[in-house]
Amino acid sequence: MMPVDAGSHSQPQPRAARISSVDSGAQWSARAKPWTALVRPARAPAFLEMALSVSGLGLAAFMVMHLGLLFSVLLGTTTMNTLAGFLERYYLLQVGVAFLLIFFVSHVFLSARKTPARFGQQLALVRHIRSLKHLDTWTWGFQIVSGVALLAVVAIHLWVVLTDLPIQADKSGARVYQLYLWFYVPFLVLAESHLSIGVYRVAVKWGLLSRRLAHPILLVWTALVLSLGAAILVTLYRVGGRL
Amino acid sequence: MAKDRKLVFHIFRHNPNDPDSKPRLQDFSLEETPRMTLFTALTRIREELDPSLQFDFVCRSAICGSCAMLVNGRPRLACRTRTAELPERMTLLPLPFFRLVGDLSVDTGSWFREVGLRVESWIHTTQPFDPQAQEERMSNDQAQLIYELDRCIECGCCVAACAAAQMNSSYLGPSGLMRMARFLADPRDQRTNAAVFEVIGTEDGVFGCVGFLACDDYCPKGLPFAAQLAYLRRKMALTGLRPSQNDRRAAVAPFSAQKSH
Repeated sequence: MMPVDAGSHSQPQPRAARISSVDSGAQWSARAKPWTALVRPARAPAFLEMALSVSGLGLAAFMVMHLGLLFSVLLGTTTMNTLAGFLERYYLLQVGVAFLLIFFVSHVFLSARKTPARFGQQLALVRHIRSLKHLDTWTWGFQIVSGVALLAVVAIHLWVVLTDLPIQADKSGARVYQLYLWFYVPFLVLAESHLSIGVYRVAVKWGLLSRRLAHPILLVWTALVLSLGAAILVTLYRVGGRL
Repeated sequence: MAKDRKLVFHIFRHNPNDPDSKPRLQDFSLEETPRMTLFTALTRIREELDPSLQFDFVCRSAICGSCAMLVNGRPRLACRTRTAELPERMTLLPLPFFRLVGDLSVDTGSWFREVGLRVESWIHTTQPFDPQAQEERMSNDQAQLIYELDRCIECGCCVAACAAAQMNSSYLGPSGLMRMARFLADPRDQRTNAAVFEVIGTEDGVFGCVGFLACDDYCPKGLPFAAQLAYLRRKMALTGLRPSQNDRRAAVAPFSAQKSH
């Protein structure tokens, strides 16, 4: 987009008056770049950029809540059953799933904007990551791979759990004990690392945290969530083993 | 420095203007000397081993920004990179993204000029210029900030380090966005935020930035990319959502509109 000569201003421009009533910025741009009189200023990129961060933070908050609820199994199977029953009786589970699906689907589409779609771009990205050996660039490559993997893994997880309601500690334990341990271990690691890296990037992109602060905070956070997740899986495995 | 190191340079060779030239890596060996920089090493290679080797330099003191290249895959200025910091064998490649002139020499100038024009990298004002009048004063902090953002030497290291630029050749790049930040900081520039949004509020502008912050890590002049990109992103997001709400500047026609009056 090179600056152009605005041409003759004496000729009336169609719809320019409507644009100029929007704000002063559009007013000058309609004069400087006549074509902007014909199109509304494209404000969508600003909205999409914020929506990507917000949907990611929403999913992160969901996962923290999810882990917090699962934490109840450490206090005993009856605690978890009571809690799950409460959530279902008052439709909180259904609301939660609806919220999750909306955020999940929009996050997929919003982040797809940033993901290289053409092979040439993907090749350029891989070569760049391998040549530069730069941590924050490398982690973004990981975000793409883990994001695609999570798309499949989350779908399987939701299907398995939601087609087998109500949620009960014994059923979850049996699942983990029988087949799904090797599904849930990588799931936990993938989801948690995707979440941590994503939250880190939101924080530094918008300038909420300096990188010097964000690194240690996110490391401690990741260690905490991973050990909590591991404790939950071990407990469920034991519950399943006792059946 | 370990004594008597024999350095081996794997250097990219290609002349895009010669149809018979094939891109390849050529090896050169040199004895390391005390306080040797890559610039001195390349000059010795050209003087003693191969006079056809092409690379750029002007100032030899990290001011002109000509000698940026990929040193073992990372963008650096040859003149301020000491060989003592590097392993014995090293690979030197031209900067990616920019047009190759030959061997290690790339044309950064054309791209930076285009970017300067895209962000209209000059002060937009309706104030009539009076050559007799004293300049308007600005606070010391204000002047310092503008100076801080204006220190870019246009070497291209940030663009070469930026993965977003590698994937999108029409991206304004970290340095292009830094140009805009410099004029946003300048009280003499009367462009509105909405006007600035027209230029950088796109996916080729600040919303094309993914936040790798390799620009911040590899800028040889240490420009505050992380802080400024975050600032621009916040400002442009707010402007995009509520264009008329946060304009502290007076509306003014840009240069391109003024000159036809």
